[in-house]
Amino acid sequence: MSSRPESPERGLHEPEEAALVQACRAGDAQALERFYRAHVDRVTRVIGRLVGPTPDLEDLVQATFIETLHSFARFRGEASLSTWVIRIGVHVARHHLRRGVRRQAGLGLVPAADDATPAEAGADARLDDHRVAQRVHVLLDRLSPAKRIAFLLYVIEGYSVEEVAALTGAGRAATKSRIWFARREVLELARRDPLLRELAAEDEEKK
Amino acid sequence: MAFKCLQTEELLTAALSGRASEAERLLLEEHLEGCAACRETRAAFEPLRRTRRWEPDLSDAGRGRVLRALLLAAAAPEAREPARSAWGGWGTVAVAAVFAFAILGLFVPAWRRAAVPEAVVPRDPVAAANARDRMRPGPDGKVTLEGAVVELAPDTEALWRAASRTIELRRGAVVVEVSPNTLRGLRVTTPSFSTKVLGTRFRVDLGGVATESGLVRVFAADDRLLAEVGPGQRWREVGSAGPRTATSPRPRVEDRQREPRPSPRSRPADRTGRKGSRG
Repeated sequence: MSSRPESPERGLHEPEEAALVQACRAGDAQALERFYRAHVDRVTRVIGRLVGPTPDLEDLVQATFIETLHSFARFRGEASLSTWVIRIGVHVARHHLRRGVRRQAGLGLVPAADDATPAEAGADARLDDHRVAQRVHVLLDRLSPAKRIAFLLYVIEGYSVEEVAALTGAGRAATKSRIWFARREVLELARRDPLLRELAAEDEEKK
Repeated sequence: MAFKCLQTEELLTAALSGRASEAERLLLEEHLEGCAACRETRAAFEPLRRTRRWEPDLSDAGRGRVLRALLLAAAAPEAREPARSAWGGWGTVAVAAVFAFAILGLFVPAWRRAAVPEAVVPRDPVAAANARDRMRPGPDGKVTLEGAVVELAPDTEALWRAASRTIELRRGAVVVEVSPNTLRGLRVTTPSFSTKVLGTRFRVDLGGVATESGLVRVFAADDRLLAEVGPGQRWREVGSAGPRTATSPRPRVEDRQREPRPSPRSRPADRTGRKGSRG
């Protein structure tokens, strides 16, 4: 399980981080590789969880790191390098979601909530975490990108409201409201979804 | 402390994301044991708990590809720190607004006369997703897209699918320059292969690909990665001496191979993609 994310408000205390940024700005290949290797896992995980299972994940991670290249000059060290990269990743994910890209893969595996019955969904189907995530993201596609991102950063990634606000560039009140409304909508959709209902029933039986 | 059902969602969220204290968790469990409605709420949270367990990841090859693209982009200084006007964004917006109003003032009468639109935007989302326009270059032979400029060779036939940002090349050749500042990739497909790029300049004809800057990935019809073509490198299909028509027999994937230049993957020295190697 992912550990608790660090606070985005943490300042740039470590001189080596400042030196790394400086070297990356200058285009030092070794520094860039070190920077990339230090952050690629986290960036991949956060973007993947925000947009859901998608064949575009690699492109989105690449877009994030290319964007950091353009932005090193504007890195002021107010947040940690890690938080700064994640903020750019969140921006890239939001851009991707705003394009209205809907997942193609997965819709064929799991019928839409409105036109499926539990029987059709396949009582024998074993939904692993990946497929459940896929299904949840099909439901999340119905939310606005802003609400979806705030909700996932708060609930799935475990950031605080203030941290989500800082990562998304929104106010605290707006962030809180987005999380609250998104949770209402997601729970309502999850309750109505035949596949997820079936899953819940299976889990209840096991307990 | 009396527990109210209204608190359940908040506490379940806190428990899910690891924020709930031990005392809060115990309180919640105790309440859930006696409240069927709240147990239903907990069941609705279960998919989220599983989603949290899901760890998206890239393959080793994918990580390598992204790193190579990053290093290649870094090798182009203009891509690293794009020039920004001292006037900042607002100055540009103000000038653009003045020009926009001026142009609107000049052309509104003519625009009103031209009541028949050139193209009807389909309302059906499926039709919209499949909509494609024939690419018609301007006098300079170029077509400007969002984040990209496409130069069409004479007698080129190409279609543009805006929804998927794909150029379908049917005849001739295109030189594509995708801005390093855009977050949107672009695909060029031919009858036998396709390319996928982000922040690069390259040429495609029906027989192959030549990259000037950046990194171009070439895929087979079944989406299998065939090659990564770095700056100054070319990839062509075996037996393809030059541009062919779209009606040529479709070559088998097994017949394809890179030209003598080795792939960036097999040339660690190229990983930095230094500017000197650009074509």
